[in-house]
Amino acid sequence: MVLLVTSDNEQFTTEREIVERSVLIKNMLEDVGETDQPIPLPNVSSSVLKKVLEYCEHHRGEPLPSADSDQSQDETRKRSTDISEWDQKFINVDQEMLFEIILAANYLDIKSLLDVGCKTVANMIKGKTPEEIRKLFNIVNDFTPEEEAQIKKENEWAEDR
Amino acid sequence: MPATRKRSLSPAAAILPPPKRRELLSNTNPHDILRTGLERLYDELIVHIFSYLSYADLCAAQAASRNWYRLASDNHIWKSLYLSAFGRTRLRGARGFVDRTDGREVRPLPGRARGHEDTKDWKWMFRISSNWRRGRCNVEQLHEPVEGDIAGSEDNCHVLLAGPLIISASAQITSSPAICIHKPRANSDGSPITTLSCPSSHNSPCSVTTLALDQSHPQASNTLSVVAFLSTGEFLVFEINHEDPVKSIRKLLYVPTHRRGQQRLAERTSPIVQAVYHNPLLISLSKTFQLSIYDLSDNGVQHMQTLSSYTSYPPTSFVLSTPTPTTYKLVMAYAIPVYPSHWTVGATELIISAHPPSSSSSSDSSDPPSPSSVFAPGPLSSPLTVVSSRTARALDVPPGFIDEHKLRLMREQWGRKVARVADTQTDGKWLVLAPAPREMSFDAPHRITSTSSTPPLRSSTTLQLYRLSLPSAPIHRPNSVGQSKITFVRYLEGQTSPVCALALADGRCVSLGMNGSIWVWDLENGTGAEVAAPASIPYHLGWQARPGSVVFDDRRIITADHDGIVVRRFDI
Repeated sequence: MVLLVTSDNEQFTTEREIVERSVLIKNMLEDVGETDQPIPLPNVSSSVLKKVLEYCEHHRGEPLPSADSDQSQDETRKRSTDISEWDQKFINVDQEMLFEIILAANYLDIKSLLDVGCKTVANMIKGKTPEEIRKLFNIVNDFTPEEEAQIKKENEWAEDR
Repeated sequence: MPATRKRSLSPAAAILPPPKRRELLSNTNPHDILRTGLERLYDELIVHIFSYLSYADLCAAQAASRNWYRLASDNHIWKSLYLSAFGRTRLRGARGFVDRTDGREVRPLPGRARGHEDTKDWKWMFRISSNWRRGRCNVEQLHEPVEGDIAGSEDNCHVLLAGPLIISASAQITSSPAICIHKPRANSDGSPITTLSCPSSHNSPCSVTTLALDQSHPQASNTLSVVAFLSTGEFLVFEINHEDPVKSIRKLLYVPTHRRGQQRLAERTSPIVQAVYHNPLLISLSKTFQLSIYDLSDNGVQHMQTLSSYTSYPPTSFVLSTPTPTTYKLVMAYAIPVYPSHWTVGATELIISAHPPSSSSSSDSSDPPSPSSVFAPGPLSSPLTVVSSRTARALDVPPGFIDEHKLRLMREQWGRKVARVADTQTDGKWLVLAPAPREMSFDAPHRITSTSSTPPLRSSTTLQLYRLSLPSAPIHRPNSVGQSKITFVRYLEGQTSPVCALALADGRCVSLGMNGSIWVWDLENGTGAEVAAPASIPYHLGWQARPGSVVFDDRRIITADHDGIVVRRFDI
């Protein structure tokens, strides 16, 4: 069993097989071997870690993407934004939690969870106008009217689909 | 779970790997605590999210904010988008083949060498390719000084694309033939920058019959050479300054000399319907299908060789490449007759060597010319002569008796024969045949007339696409060449009138319909897009055949017909 300590000082005890879906923790455990020492996760809060561990537990035993294939997979990766049913239900959280999960997945190096999170955000952007995107994510329009007109003209080719 | 155990975390903290990216650093920044929502994601995560978006969504994301504009312009995202949508690492289209053994490289013409090709702005690449695929372009009319009557001429204008320049010459007979140099955008009114007169030494009215652009690397960085052939059999070589076309000069005038007893002379030079130039090699083809080879080194003209063909007819298409520094490969496509009154397409490859081959390896001394040769090599007189030749045709009748399968293939081949050929073009790999309607009003030079009834043919608006295969010889047996063949690939259907002109380069085909419509075909995936809608009245309502010509490069289509010269730009 592995002991994890979150940023808000909560402790989680999980099986090694589950927590090793995080490449960060897996490498760490390989480096130190068996240890009773708690592993601090200063970037992850307890509410987020709970979600992350839920994800890891569901996907336990699935093959991890190897580090070598990372690059080539990325190049030829299908741009599919399909998400499995369980993952969809899992990631159906408020925006704040969604971004927290993405940050945690990135920090803990859980590629499949990072992809699920990023695909979910991408799906939210799809088909929206710039104004709708700004509203959705509370983005401030910092363009001057001239710049805005310039970009509109520059991207005219993509509009009449 | 037990919550608070005070921080005795140092041992494990000490073995934590250094921050892999920059999350630890940025998260310890107190400023970040104030950030909410999406702003908390690092740039690389937002780029990762963007990598799942389509081009249209990326463009929308660019317009959200300055930061998103920067992130959604990420060149890697656009590269992978481009490659998945268009599957190659460069724009296609330019004709001109240099310094590549396979003869398929797009030539970086002077003046185009800098700019987008070098920086590889993938978003721009995507944009221009998307415009090509959907036929999105803007249209600009160029003004040609027109005089006289052009009704009798078959082509009313010859056009070349040379980097930023458009070089044109009217095909009408005039006392002062000239070539015009246009630089669109430079002159907003679309008139030529300069004209270069092409006077004949005979002082008689004549016309320009074809133009050829030098494909070799220019010796001076700002010049390129163009050859203009006159109906008198003469040709002129111009050195065109593409930075300042007014400074262009005429380099030489070739007047064919008539030698006693050489009756073929007039036929071999007049008129020239097609030519290709890779300094010092110039190859011209006359209307009677005589192919002449010239050596233009040292600012002179030396006529090296003339070959004839008994069974090949215009229209033709030439692709010249240089497999080695001393050899040239000419691939030509042309019409060949099908008994008794139809046409199909054939192709011949000629290898022209700058050095006479040693007698042991010479193909015409050790082997008799193969029976499929169309152009039989003549005696070796000097360097720059044809050393080998091979031919393939789309309709190849097998001798003797054949089985059911072969019979079916034969019938399919037979069904693709056409009554008339409007144009045939090749890029060395693909071959497109455009049939012409029977009742076409202008008189074609070669035509087999027959009163016998013929089976119904496909509509003359349908183009035929063939794959040309000319495998090179294995190294261990340089004299044995693989079997050359022309394989039918598919019909290209879409155009609503017969086609009057084709242009083909690097897997892309542009067809100009007699009704003025223009289609762009991606030959590899078989898709076509209408770039210009039919301008004139529908085909079946008695239109007039309108001759025309079309050229294109990676960002423009230039058409020349009764309406003048029109430039369609896709880099918008």
